[in-house]
Amino acid sequence: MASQPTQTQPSTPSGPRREARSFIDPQALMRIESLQLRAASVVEGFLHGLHRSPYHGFSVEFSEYREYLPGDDLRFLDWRVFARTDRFYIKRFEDETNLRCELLVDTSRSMSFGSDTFSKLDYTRTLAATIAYFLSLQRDAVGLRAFDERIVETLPARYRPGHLNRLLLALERTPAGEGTDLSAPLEEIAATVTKRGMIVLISDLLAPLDKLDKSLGYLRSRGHEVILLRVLDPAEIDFSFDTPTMFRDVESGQQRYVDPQSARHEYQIRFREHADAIKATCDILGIDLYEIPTDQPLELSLFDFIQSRQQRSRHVARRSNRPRRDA
Amino acid sequence: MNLIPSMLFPWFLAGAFAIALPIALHFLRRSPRGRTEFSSLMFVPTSPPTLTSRSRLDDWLLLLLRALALLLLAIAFARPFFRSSDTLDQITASNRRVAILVDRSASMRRGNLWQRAADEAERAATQASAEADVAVYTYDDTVEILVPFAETVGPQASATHVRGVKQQLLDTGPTWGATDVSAALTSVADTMLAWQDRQRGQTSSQIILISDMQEGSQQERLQAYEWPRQIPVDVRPIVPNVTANAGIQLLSSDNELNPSPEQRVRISNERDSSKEQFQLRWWAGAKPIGEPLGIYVPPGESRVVQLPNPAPAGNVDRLEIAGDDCDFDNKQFLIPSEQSDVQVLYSGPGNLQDTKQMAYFLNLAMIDSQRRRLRMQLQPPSDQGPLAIDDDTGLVVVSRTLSTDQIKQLHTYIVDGGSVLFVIPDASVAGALAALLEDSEVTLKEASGDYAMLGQIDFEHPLFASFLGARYNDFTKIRFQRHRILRASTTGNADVIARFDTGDPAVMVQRRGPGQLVILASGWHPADSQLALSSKFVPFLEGLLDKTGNASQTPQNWHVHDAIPVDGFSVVETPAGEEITLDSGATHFHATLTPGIYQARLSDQSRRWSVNLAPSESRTAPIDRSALEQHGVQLGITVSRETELERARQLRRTELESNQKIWRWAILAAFGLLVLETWMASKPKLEVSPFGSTG
Repeated sequence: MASQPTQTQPSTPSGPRREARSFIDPQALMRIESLQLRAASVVEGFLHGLHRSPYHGFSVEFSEYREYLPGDDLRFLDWRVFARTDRFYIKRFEDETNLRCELLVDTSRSMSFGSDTFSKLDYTRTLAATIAYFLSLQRDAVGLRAFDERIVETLPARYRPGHLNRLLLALERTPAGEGTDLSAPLEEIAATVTKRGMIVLISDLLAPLDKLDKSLGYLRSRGHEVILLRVLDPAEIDFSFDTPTMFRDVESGQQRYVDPQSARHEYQIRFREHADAIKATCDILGIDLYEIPTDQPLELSLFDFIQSRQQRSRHVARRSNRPRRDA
Repeated sequence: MNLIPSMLFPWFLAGAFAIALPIALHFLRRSPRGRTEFSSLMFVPTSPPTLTSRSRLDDWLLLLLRALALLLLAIAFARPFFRSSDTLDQITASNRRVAILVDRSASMRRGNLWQRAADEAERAATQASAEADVAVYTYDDTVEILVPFAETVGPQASATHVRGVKQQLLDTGPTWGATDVSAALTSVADTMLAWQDRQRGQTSSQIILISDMQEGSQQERLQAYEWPRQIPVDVRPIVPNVTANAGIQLLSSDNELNPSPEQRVRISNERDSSKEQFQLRWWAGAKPIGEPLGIYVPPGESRVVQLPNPAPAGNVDRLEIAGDDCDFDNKQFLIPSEQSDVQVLYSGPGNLQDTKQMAYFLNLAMIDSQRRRLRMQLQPPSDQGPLAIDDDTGLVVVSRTLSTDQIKQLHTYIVDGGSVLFVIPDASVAGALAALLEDSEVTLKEASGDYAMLGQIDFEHPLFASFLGARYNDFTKIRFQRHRILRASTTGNADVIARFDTGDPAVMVQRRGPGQLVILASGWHPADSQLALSSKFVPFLEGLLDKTGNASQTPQNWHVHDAIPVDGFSVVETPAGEEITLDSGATHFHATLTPGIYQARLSDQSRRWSVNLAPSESRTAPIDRSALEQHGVQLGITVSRETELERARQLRRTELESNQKIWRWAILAAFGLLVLETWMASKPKLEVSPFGSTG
């Protein structure tokens, strides 16, 4: 008896990918068990490549010379300039050690989705670890807040021996939580993080928009710099499924029969509308938004982060210089 | 041959319903398969499934081929065959025999056990006689046939044959015998086996055991018997309503030489007993003696108590236990032992103080026992008068020449049951010995040379029976420095029961009626031998005294169905008062059917014995039928005649089917159809345009 050929389950979506030949493949990276090793691989690989890049030395960036005024710390006096010009100049650097970075990691159930061998949460953990590792190398204080509907893990921003290890451990043990409600944890964070600093929010932002601007607005209103890294699975962007099947929302448990062929177009329109709305909100609030698909090498994400910081620092520098010019 | 095929396993045809499966699948709506987890459905539009419902058969030929293949597979599994009409009807059932074995031991006297056993036997016989030849056996420690096998074929004959089994059982009633289930089962199984061997056709046997399955059934001995697997035993236990039972057993004194004034009694209470307090009391006929003695024995345990011996004058005949529910084993009959005076007459050299002569050692070796007080009397060799023999004389030891009168006197004494030991002191007594032996060819000669030892000993003779056994039969330490060589005619009725290592007779015995003459070719005093100094001397004398034919020395306590030696007695009176005349020459009395006091008589002589229930019969706690199985007995029930016939028919069907093997063709055809179906399914379909051929 001839059997009808059965179609296999369409679990791997197909879609356009960003070319990333020179970087570590995320699949290969996720096979490394240790989170610290993962982060170290990304950052060190990144730094090795950076020697030939124009961005070298930003972290200990020389800012400006300024004339010595009585009361300035003599330690910062540039004696070489004094030797050449017989004038007292104070050498100023970007103050980097007082940067306080809070990593806000979304661990809601939607983050456990992954069309590849790893989930968005795995990717997010690695990304957070990479940023933390990178900042630690620069002696910046890094903190961690993991949340789903509420904050489940809190590690205040510090720069201390062993702090990075604790942070990585906290990241590793963070379980996948329940639903996403950004407003409550963001409000709580806004209330508790009083010292101004940088806040890196890593989330998929797959939630209704109505409260998002309000919550992000809280953070901005406190004077924090906010960088939003939106981690998305390629399948979420393209809806690249083939076979009609029953889809189940991992957060709400809701089930719906969907024929991807017919639904794809509308999905993409709705998704783009949502993404645009987020972008508009971020623009209004002055938040840097980066969309990071999980098939994108982590170095690129790190690059996005650094680029954001650099732009910001220039912006800040410009802003801080402006009154002087005005004066 | 019948052209409509039969099926060996027709229920496999139900597999043909699987045809419905492809058809149903064909018509079924396609429902979405599987489930995909997705992060959020907030952007996913609702798109109703486009399910297809097909109500039209597209590929009816394919469907037909698949259905046919399934049908053929179902037929192949049902194993079809063509039956020939004559083969199945010729099957006949085997010859069957059922033996019903009914326990009739004394324990069946409890409550209404016997009535119920008879009912069960009747029921079993009626059931079994419908299709088998039935026999009914009863057993205690022996097996008896109550209803033999009819030896006729046909259920009708058997049914009439076993009619009235119940009445027969009720008429005979249980006996007082002990239970020996192993002897009964093995004997009946052997009978059945012999019958099976004689039969040429198929046979089937069954034993139905109806018993109270008591502990004391002696089922352990079944271990020695390899039970035939083809004879299953159906055990139908009859469980009594009353469970409290205690048994008593009279124990012998632990010291034979030190007579005790107390009787040792063992009281054992059954493990399923509901009572613990019992009373012991002596009885003389219908009259109780003394006060009852209260005994506490927990269930499953036994106690040994010392009970004061009753006075011999009180005519006590039994001990009774009271307080339990079953009275069949509550009485223990006994003859109170009396210590009798026995005189040993010694007529020979020496006196009691002369440590070199035999008299001194003989006197030392005479030890009183529980049954007798020994008294020694000396008669010097010079005394030619009559020997001092009286009624109490149990043994006469002579070591001298004898006068004619004395020889006559000894002859009379021996014929009356007396025992004479003649120790040859020297060759001068040849004449007296010849006269005693009534053998004129007797010659005596002093042996010369080195010492002698006992070489051949007949340990089966009562005189040496107590030395039987490896620990006691070493006589090599006894040296005979001097002995006499005795030559007698071979026609004499004297037996040589021990010889010296030189081959000369050492001990000779001549039986004459109940009495005996024992001749010793050497003395036991140190001048002749070391016999008196050895440990064998006292038991040898005891043997002489025990075997004198004196009636009072034989055991007095026996069990039911024991054969009691009654040498010389003519009449035995049973406990019921019935007098049984013994055949002349009868050596044993077998009719000990009930417990009680039996009395044997011969003119003015009489002897009494007590006969009791076997102690094992008091162990009435029930055992499980698996106890028989543990000893190898095959438990179970043979199949009924209908089942057997059906099995035979099924066997015949299997045989026919395996000869024809139609299923192979069906499988082959099914495969062929499947190949065809695969080929057809793989053929590309012609696209048919709704607007006609595209050309």
